[in-house]
Amino acid sequence: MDTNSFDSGKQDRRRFMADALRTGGVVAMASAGGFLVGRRSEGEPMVWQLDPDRCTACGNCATHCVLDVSAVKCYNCFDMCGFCDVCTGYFEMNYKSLDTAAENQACPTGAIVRKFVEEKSGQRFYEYTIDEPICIGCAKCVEGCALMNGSLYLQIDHQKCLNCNECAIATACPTEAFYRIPQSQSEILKERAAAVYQARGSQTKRVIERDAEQTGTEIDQVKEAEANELLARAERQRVWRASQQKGSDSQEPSFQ
Amino acid sequence: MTNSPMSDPRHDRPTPVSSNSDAPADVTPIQVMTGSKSAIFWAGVVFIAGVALFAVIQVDSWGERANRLPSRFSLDTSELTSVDAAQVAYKEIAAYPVEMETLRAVAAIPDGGFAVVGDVEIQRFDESGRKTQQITTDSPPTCIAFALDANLIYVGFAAAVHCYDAGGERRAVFNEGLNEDSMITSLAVFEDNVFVADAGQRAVLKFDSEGELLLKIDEEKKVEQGLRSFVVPSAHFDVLAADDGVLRVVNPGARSIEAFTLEGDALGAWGETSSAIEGFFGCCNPVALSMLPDGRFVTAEKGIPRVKIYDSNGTFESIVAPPAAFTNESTAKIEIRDSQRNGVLDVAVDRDGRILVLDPNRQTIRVFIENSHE
Repeated sequence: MDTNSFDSGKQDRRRFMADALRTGGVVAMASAGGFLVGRRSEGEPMVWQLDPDRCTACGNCATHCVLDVSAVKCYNCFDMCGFCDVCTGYFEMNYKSLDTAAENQACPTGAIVRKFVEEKSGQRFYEYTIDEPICIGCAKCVEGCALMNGSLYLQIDHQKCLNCNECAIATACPTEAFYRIPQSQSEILKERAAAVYQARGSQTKRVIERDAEQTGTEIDQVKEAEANELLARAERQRVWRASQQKGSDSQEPSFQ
Repeated sequence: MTNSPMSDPRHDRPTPVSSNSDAPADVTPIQVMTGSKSAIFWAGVVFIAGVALFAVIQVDSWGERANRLPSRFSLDTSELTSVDAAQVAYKEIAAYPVEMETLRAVAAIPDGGFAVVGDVEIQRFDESGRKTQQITTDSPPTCIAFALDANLIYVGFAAAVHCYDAGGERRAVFNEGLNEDSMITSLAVFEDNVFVADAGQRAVLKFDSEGELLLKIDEEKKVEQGLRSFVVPSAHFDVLAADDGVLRVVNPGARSIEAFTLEGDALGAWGETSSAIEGFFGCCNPVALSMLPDGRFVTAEKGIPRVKIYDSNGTFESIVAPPAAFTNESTAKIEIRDSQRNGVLDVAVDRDGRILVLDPNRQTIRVFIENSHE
């Protein structure tokens, strides 16, 4: 046997082992690093939502959703609603009388429910809620309400939305009002609604703190929780809008 | 290229000779069709282009009819916005621009001219629309009124009324009876009394000239008299103290104008809920009220913006400015975006009986007089 070739073979095996170890080490380190980076950058699920301040009530939401009945529904911000007897979102423009007859209702599917709340010194007040399964998101009521208080607005119902990778309504939206937002945010309020929530939350907190101080009792926990919820909703919107503003200022695409 | 044999200069080799070497040489590189062939060809091109355009329009998801919904799925305000031209009894004679971002209220100055509040400013103008004075305020003013001799200016803020002298110096602050719920929307002055419409408290407060609260016309006082309370769904709640010594207050949620003595005793009310031109439209109108020297009323509405005249009994008389005067006629679409929505009008009547309409969308004061007036 040629001793030189034996030594050469031995050296090749050693080199192979050393290379294998080095390669294995690098792969292991890269995998560990990737795993850690992946864990850190893992975000919460994103969902589609529409910004009511950019919505024009064009009607595309009703017909472009992949679902038979659109996942976009109308919502009423009760803090902006006047609980009016003559609701321009509920009644047809040329209503015959102020009752719930179908001919007087603006909603073509009869999805707005008008419920008597109270009569106060001769004035009757009504609550307007949306029967969600019937609402198709055509936004006719949103247009009517905009003539007065503007408390009705569209939002995506996440119970219905399939969260398609490419939302068909977003593609058809003429004002690019659709955004991907974190699931925990879930809603996009009108800026005016957020301001109302902020004011009401702050006022409620002031009142309960003053009452507790005057009466020497504990702060009303239930009311405090309600106030905190309103403030949190307003704050989420403020942060989101600020991030959108920052994005548009730095020329980053804010859409999708 | 002709088919004649020739050598390739790159390789100095003969190029292949066409098998159809007997064919005549092609001297015209482009065959131009003439006659009926040309007509057929271009007709085909136009047809294909038309089909393509039609297809694009059909799939245009951003177009006007993109939603493919029947007309009953959208709101039609055409009936409300179109008016009988014969009912328009006024004409616009001037429009004075106001250098402000947000215009909120206009008031006539008793000795001539007018004043506008908005942003964080009070601006005074003479009768020809020339700015004569500007006062900067600490916070956004919401309304303005003048004492009869024009030496005192009362300006409303969210929860206080500030009294300025003619030189723009603040002399007093009225805040008795006003609180964190307050949202002052209108002021009226009669003799030594200042009347304050507070939309937040749904009440009218009466102060003396020193700022002492004398009276509060609120739900309690109205219910005592068997009256409906003030219903104020949005922050538009106007008060008018006219020369006849009667206080008039708009009850917007009831679509009516209520009259009171200066002591807050009810005298009567008028106003009809209707989308027709004779009535007040929607949940809460009118948003502004003023009075002509002959006792007729001028009203301004929101939603379907229009300015109208009612006689002293509250019977509809004529139109000062129809909705078309305030909206963009190029589109019938209702604008729902808050940033794009039309601002709310205000009205005042100057000492010459001219109607001053504050148009916040054009940032102007528009002046109207009767058609018959020269």
